[in-house]
Amino acid sequence: MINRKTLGALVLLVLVMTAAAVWRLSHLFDWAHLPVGAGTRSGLYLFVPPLAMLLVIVVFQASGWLIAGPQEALEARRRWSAPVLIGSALILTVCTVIMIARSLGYGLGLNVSAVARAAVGIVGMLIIVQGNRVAKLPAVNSRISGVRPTPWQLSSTQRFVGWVCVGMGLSMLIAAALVPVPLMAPVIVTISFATMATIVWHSRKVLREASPHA
Amino acid sequence: MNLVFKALSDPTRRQILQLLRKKPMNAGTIAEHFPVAKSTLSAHFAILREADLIEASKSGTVITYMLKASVLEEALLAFAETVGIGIPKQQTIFRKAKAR
Repeated sequence: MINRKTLGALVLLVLVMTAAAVWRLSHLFDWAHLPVGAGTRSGLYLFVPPLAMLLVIVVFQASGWLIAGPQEALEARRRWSAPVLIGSALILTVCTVIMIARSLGYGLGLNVSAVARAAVGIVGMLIIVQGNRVAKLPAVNSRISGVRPTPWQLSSTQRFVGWVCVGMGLSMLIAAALVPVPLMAPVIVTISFATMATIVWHSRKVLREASPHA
Repeated sequence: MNLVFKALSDPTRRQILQLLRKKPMNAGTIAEHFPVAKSTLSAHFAILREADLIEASKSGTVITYMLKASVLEEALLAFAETVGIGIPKQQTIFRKAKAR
């Protein structure tokens, strides 16, 4: 569920990140020792951002294969997903550039914690902006599930998803400001799983309830 | 956004949105809640549709309206309702006294 232009830009950014990682590794004496500040870490660490982005692209594309609906509805969803995907890819590219620059001895004075906090904060803001618009998206149906929700059930679920996404974004902003950097990853993973679990719980609840009629 | 603010500035339109938050309704059912002419109500629906706050689906002769507000718009709706935007001053004082 990614439009062609966005997909092209994402693939390009993944290729740039991968090429930069390969180039840096080719200049290393030992792949297991990529200089990071005072210490070293595995050079394969450079492939984490492009792989993460590739995973996100696959998940979004797969979600597009699982839904069916009018062409305009699908196109609206593709347009909706574009800013989050491009924003995330740009953040990951900047992270890769910073990692490579630091391994070459540039930007060692850079406050990495501040960069990590800023990245989480920007992603949080993107989720808030996109979550706000979820209720406006035209409804689509699942291609694999036999359940056919009513327009009201779909609309109710989308409005709830919007609120939950805004909540997730706000939680990420708070985490970016207050949570210590080493705890940031587990906190964000917990927030993400809690968000998904809440959405699944609410969808099931709505589907079980009788749809109110006018 | 101007259209949204215009739509939310009227208490009748806000009440329509509050009704639609609970369930989708057809024009006739919504009209039962308001002592206004159907033509006035139609004008309200037109403004709400123009602001993309509601969605209308037609089946036969019945038009069913459904809420289509974003998170920010729902928050604005709650804010306008709390502050009492568009409600005459006397009515606001009465509402506050009633709430006490």
